[in-house]
Amino acid sequence: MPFAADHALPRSGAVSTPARRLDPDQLGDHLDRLYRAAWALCGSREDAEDLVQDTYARVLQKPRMLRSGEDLGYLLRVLRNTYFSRLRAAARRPRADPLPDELDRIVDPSASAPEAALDASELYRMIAELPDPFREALVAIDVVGLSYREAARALRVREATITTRLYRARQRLAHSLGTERAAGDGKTG
Amino acid sequence: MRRQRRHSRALERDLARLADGTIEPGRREQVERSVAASDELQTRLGEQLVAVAAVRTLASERAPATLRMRRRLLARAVGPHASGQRSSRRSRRRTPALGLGMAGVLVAVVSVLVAFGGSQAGLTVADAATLAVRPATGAVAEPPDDGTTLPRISAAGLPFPYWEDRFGWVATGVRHDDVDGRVLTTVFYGRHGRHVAYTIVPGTSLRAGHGVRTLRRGDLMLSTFTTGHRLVVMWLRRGHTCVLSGAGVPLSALVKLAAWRGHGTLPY
Repeated sequence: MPFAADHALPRSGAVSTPARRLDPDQLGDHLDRLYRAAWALCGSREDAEDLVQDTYARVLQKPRMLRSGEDLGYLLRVLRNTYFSRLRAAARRPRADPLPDELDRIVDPSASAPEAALDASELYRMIAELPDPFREALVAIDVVGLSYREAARALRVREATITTRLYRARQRLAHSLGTERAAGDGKTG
Repeated sequence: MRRQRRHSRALERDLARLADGTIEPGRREQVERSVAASDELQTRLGEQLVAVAAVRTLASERAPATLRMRRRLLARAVGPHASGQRSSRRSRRRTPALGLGMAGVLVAVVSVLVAFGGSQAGLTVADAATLAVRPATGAVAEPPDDGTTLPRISAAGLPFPYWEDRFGWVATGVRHDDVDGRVLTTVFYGRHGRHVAYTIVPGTSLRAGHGVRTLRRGDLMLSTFTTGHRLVVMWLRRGHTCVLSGAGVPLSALVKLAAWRGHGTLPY
């Protein structure tokens, strides 16, 4: 259940830290990490761009009061909520038809699609396919780089819980990677 | 049973933290000893390490230049509001109205951003295609009889096609956009209420991006993808990127237009 993005202050913990206004100029410092998190949530680069933009638009709609040092965790939380809002909205919209495919589809040897980029897309896709709680833990800690404590606060779960989820997320991801490699070996061999 | 489960979870947490190096030093030694003594634990730790290493490779992935620009413009649009003082009761009472006003500003900014993107390092075909939803700023003239190119409009020495006689697409206007030193020229065409936009991006060819299909028509290689509701076709003419996009226009029609060489008068 996503929680309201408007309430940036945590319900518990670190209450002694004074609240301060979120500085819009500093939001750009987190753009790369948020973009990666968005990509890992959506599994698509294009959707990730839109998601990050919506997240910033949402955050910037009104002044936000935050405790010190929790900007990134807060942004991740808004990103996550925005992601679920978009999913719900998308579920209500009719789906577009696939592209007509009446022409030859061939491998373009000159296409600038380096393997690394392809691998990244594949990896993001695998992360996006993880069950929600596992994916969120992995995104918060491994992709965004929050500490376990920060991630627990951002996602509002216990630190032990998020660590267990992270373990399982990585385990599944490793299996997916193994399966993918095995399939690749099978094709080439 | 319950105790066993608790132990199992504690072990999972230890392995997770051991894999990314956040385990407490005192605990590390103990867990490492357990792992060394168990093939199963070695496998499980190996899985954690594989995943951690894989995800770390993503750290070099940077947000595209267009997204940076969008964020900057958004921040600029709300700057005075965000940094303003709103502590008085009066200003608090005005919050809903301000909120609505700000929503309007944001919508406007986002609309502009959707139609405008790009930066030197990260200009993509999708960015160029977004120009298609911006208005024309200039008129186009008709060519003389049997003409196949539009007069007085070109980009990087490449003329734009005149499609009206051959395909029924009427050139309706032109616009020029300077995106980080590149002047992108876009000609708009219309037919039966449908519109397409043809942009020529001079200079090095653009990154096609993700989710692209490659097609061939004769000896012409084309890439196609969708962005929003628009179908986009991209190809090269003399090393310059050409982008043709339209909403509700079939791919076959776009490809046919893109591949038309005006009986040899359009340099490819």
